[in-house]
Amino acid sequence: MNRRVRLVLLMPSLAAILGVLLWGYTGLPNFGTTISSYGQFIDRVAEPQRHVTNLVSAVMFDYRGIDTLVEEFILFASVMGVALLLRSSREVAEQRPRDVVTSDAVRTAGSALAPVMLLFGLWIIAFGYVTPGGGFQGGVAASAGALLLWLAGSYRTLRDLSPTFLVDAAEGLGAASYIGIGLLGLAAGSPFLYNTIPLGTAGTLASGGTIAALNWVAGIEVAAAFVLIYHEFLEEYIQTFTYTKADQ
Amino acid sequence: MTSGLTAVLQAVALTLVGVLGVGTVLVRDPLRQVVVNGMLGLSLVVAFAVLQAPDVAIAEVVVSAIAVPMVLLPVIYKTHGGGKG
Repeated sequence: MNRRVRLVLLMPSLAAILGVLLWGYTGLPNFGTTISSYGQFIDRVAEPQRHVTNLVSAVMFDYRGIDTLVEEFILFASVMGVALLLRSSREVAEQRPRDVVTSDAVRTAGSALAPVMLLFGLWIIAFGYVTPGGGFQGGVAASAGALLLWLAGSYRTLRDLSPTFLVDAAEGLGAASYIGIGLLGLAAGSPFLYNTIPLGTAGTLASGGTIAALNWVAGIEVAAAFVLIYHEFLEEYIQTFTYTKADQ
Repeated sequence: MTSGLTAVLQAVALTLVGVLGVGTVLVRDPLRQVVVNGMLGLSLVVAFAVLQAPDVAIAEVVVSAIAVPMVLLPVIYKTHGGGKG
């Protein structure tokens, strides 16, 4: 099939896509003018109902808690796939690839920033239902602390300071606890994921009931999932790096 | 209604998103693409922030600054013969 035939075949499809897009865009509300009725409803009822000041987390971990459960298990399943494909069947710590940091600046900056990054991530998780932030964002930020451990030390430092069994347990328990907290609702005779824990005072850390709990377990799950990805991807990278060095 | 300054910021941020989005596709070298993609991420962060979506802005920060480069860089290194290709 030559270039001309392909172009002729492409044009009608492109035109159709453009048409559907334009048709869709003309039906949208005007830019920056309308807040949907669902948004207005949440604005009005979420704070009195759920005692949280970040309404996004009220939607994520309460009104649409089941969506977030599925979202979390998408991450869980992908990380399981990474571990299944890349993790060695019998892991021996002594056989892990070895690398060293050559730059003093990287070592110093990395060492200084690793705890800061971890604390920053935990802070984003902790205040997720009070101010903007939450389990997912904070979890990734906290996992960056582990990445900085690798930058400041070596791959073996990272693996020693984040033991595999701990990361696996945190990831599995984070995912399982989400379902466990959902079952609390069933145990109290309400629907799955219903907010049954006392709601506390809005604007403080002791607020939101199950929102606070789900926020934390999601944060732990996400942080552990990303550390696990770093373990496997960095191992691949360093192996390639070492072999390339040996070739030269 | 949004004030004049906010409207200008929104216009600048959205223009940057458009330019850098197209730029990411046009750059052919994967390593440079990661860098341009990072700048696209930054412009999206600014866009979400001026559109009053701080939660999404924070999510975009962690995804574009930590998750995406972290996954892409080792893969590019491995598939391009140790950074020589």
